[in-house]
Amino acid sequence: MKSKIFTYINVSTQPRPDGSMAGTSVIVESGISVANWPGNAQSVALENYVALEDATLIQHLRNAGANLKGRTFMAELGLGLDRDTCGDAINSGLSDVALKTDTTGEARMAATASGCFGFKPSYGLISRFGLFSLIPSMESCGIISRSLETISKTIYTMAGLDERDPSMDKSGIDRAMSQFNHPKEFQDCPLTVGLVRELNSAMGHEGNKEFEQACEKLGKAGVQIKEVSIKDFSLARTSHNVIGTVEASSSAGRFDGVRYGHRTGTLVKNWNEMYIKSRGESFGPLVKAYLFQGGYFQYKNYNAFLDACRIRASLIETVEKAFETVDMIILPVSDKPCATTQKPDTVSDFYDVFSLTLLANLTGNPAISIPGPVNDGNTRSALQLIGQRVDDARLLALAARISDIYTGEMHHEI
Amino acid sequence: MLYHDRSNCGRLGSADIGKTVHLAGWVDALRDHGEVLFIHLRDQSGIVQLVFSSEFAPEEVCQQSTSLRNEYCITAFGRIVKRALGTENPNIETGDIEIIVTDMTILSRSDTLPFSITEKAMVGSANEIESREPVSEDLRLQYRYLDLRRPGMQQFLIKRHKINACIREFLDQKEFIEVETPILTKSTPEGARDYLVPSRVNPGHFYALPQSPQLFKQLLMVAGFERYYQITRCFRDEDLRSNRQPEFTQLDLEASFIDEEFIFNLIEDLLCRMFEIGGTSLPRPFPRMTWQQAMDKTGSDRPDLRFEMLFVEATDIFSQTRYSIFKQILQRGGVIKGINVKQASEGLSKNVLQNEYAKQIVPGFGAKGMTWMRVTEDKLDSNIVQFFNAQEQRSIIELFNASNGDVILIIADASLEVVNSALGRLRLHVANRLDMIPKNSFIPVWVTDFPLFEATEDGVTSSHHPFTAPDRMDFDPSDQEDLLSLLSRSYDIVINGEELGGGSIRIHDPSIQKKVFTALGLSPQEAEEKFGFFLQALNFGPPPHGGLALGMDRVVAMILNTPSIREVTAFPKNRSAFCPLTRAPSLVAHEQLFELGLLDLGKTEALPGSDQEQEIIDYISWVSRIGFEEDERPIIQSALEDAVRMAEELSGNAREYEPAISVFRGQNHFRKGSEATRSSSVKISDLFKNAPFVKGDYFKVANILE
Repeated sequence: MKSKIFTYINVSTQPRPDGSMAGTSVIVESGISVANWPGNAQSVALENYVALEDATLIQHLRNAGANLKGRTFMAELGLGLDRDTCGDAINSGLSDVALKTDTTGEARMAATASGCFGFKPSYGLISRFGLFSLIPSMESCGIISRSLETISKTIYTMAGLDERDPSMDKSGIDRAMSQFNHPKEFQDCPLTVGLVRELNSAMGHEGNKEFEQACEKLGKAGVQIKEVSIKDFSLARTSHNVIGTVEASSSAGRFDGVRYGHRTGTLVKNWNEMYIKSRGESFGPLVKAYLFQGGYFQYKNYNAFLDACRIRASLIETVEKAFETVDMIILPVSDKPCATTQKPDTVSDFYDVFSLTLLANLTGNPAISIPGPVNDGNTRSALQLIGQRVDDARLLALAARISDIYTGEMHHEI
Repeated sequence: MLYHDRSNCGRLGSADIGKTVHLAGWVDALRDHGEVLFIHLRDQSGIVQLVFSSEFAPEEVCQQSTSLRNEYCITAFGRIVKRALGTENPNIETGDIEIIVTDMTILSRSDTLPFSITEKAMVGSANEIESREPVSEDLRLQYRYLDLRRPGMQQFLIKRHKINACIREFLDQKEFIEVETPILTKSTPEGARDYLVPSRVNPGHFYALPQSPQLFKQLLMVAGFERYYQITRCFRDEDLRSNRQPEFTQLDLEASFIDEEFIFNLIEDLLCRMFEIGGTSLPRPFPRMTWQQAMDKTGSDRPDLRFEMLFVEATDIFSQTRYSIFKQILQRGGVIKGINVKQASEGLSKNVLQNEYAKQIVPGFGAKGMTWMRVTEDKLDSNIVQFFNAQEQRSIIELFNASNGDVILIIADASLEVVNSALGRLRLHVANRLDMIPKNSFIPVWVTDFPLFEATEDGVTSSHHPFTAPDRMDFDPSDQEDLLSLLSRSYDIVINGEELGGGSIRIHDPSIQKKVFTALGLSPQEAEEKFGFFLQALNFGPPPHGGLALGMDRVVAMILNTPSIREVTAFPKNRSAFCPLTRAPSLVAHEQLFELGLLDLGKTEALPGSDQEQEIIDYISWVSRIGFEEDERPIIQSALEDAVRMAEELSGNAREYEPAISVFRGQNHFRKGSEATRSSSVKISDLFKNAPFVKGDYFKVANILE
């Protein structure tokens, strides 16, 4: 029988019984390599692809006794949430943890839709070796779970320096790991959260009532709310779009139909035609449009890419500066109530959904989505917290406190 | 500064000791000993060592000498002295002497060099600088003027000049005159693609650059110049190959009232003199082979005769064979031919023969398979030898003149062409692999009697060109079989398997020329349109004539033993027909195209070469190698419009920031260990598991070219 949630169910390997992750089940989206599992990242470009070895983070989970359950549906090459089922898997109690690459906010958004926590770790803490990275400079392995404790344990297991990922944050890792060992420090300190001054203009005139109410609630509970300015906030989306497409166009160059993936079945005259046809057949409409935009910036308007990188530099600096006065930045996950994930028709539709989550991907900060109450019409609102880079453990600890206030429930201590 | 008293660095010697000289050139290398500075000064003639010492030179000269760097252009005065015993440098011609500098002027300075130019070590104990970092060819071509400063490269061009001078002197003696023919000429679509030059004065009309001066030289014969030659540039817009340039130089010659023997004598004499410049003497007379012999014996119309391994026709001895593969092929009228690779059983193991040659290499040559037999203890040894009876086995050994240690390779196929072509390539492959080709050996051969025509899908085409004389005149232009039986009075000069030139005795009878055009499927109107001027000239008493053209780039490269013709060309294009120095070809301004009347030519079609070219979507589809269907066009189009809008939105913002390509400052990472090692993570054989197509140990892909 074909599962509606899983694309692959692992029955072959048994987890080791001991280890910090023993008894924790994990589903892994197919953009993350697991040895001998099919891993087509839901794209024709990788049809019939079977990973030859584990991603480093999978190796860590395996060693810690995690129960790797299988793969759920995902959007093509992880771009957006079209057809994604990892939230359903958690909701149906089929797994404790879902791993999902977060390049634009996918893990946080998928978690929100299904009422879970979604965490995007700091860039450079978890090895990206074995991820099918479409946007290498922004991707992190996102973690979705109902329990912050489980998220914390999972990151701690997966993080660590890996020689096979040259983009890791060597100096940051030690600091991050030591924080995980002293979580109590963050339990009673006073809390200051930063409200982005430019948020309302970025979201249009209306503002977001539910978000304002949530902030009020925090204020009443003694959390200090402070305004911070992130100058180029309104350009973050376009900057992500330009950089993301350029990196994707570059990364997707490897899908040439030579060493793996799809090769056109039609008769071709030469090598170039083989590429053009094979790659033309390999990508769905959204990914293809995305790659064409990247091609435009690479080949026709490289200055736009440099401009986008300048804005990225400005964002990194101003976000960093904000943490001089606040413990975390607070944002909605989305400027609309987070409905069921709709299939985006255009790149612009896709960015409409992720316009408020992508900031953390641009700047590499850790970010978490905290599920809120269910609204009328079965939509859900959610809060997003962005922490200081590398202070992932601290963000998780503070998120537990914010979540308690926001939802009025008690969570377990970490 | 006056240079009338200047001496040449490389021409100084012990006889000049004690003289005061004035030199000028470039700083080839420096060696600073604190008190004393040595430099190698290089001019076109060679290198000499200069010595700067405060003992002999005024202080300001010594002071200035400390600022010298490689490739500064300087002039110096000094006294020639004998070098102290034991400090001689055998790496340079003037290694016994040096110049004690008394005055020096820096004429011009050089930036840091993109690659090292010096080729000569400064100390006698060091060998010539061999371990120079390999420089990428594109970098060499981009800075060709520096590349050409290197003495080795200079020698190539100087020798090429000497070869040209030798040709001119020799042909002048033989009373040939050099006549220049036009570069802007008429396009004739036969043969390779023309380079076209638009005419501004006649909008929409084009000149073509000549692929050869063929018709002009024949017209010069009609004009009564009995012996003509020209060292001229020709142009062909062909697909890229490693040893091909879009423009190349030919020695083109033509003579009246001559026959083949005149050309053979003339060219053999000339080639011997040319090769002499490279220190090679060619044996005369050059052997000759008919095209048929060359094909029968080597499977190639440009046979490499530096080694034997000629084909043996073995069809007859297998006429009664039980071996089913041969039997079937013979039933279909096929042929069986082979070669005897002498004393090769060590180099060609059973494994190599079966798994490499029979299974992979020979099928790659177009044959279905290959049969191999090794001769040991006067017997044949092979995986199929049991299918041959004793008589057949004896015949094989006898026919191939085989002895112990030999390896016989046989290819059988229903088509003679397939057998010849595959066996020909196999012959070369084996010879290269077993290192059977003697170095520094030059074996010329004339190949003659080519077929006049080759069959095509809808008729025939000329093997050389349509002006080549046939061996008989009584042919019927409408009878294809008759046409294909005609031989031509053409000849190619081949050395070491490379065709260096070719030519023919031409048609001088207009009625025969018309018959050939008819045979080629040209209607009288078409022939008139394309070649009317030439046919008309043949009506005015043309003399019998013939000639030949030599590909000078190839000849010179062979004489000087350079790896490519680019080494003997001053400013060549790279393998992509691009000039990294001038960055030609380039886009041109819209206005230029307008002026040339080219804007309207293509109508709605793409305008190649225009900077306002095809739609962006098609351009990006090409550069990204991603195809799309027409129904995808609107969504991609709108994404691209968004992209343009986004670029505008970002422009001018955050100017004060350096572009960040990562969230934290990247660090360089070096792999541990100094040696390259194979990754232990995945087995090579596993990599093929995900491959869409595999052939043997390779990923299989489509052809690079059509």
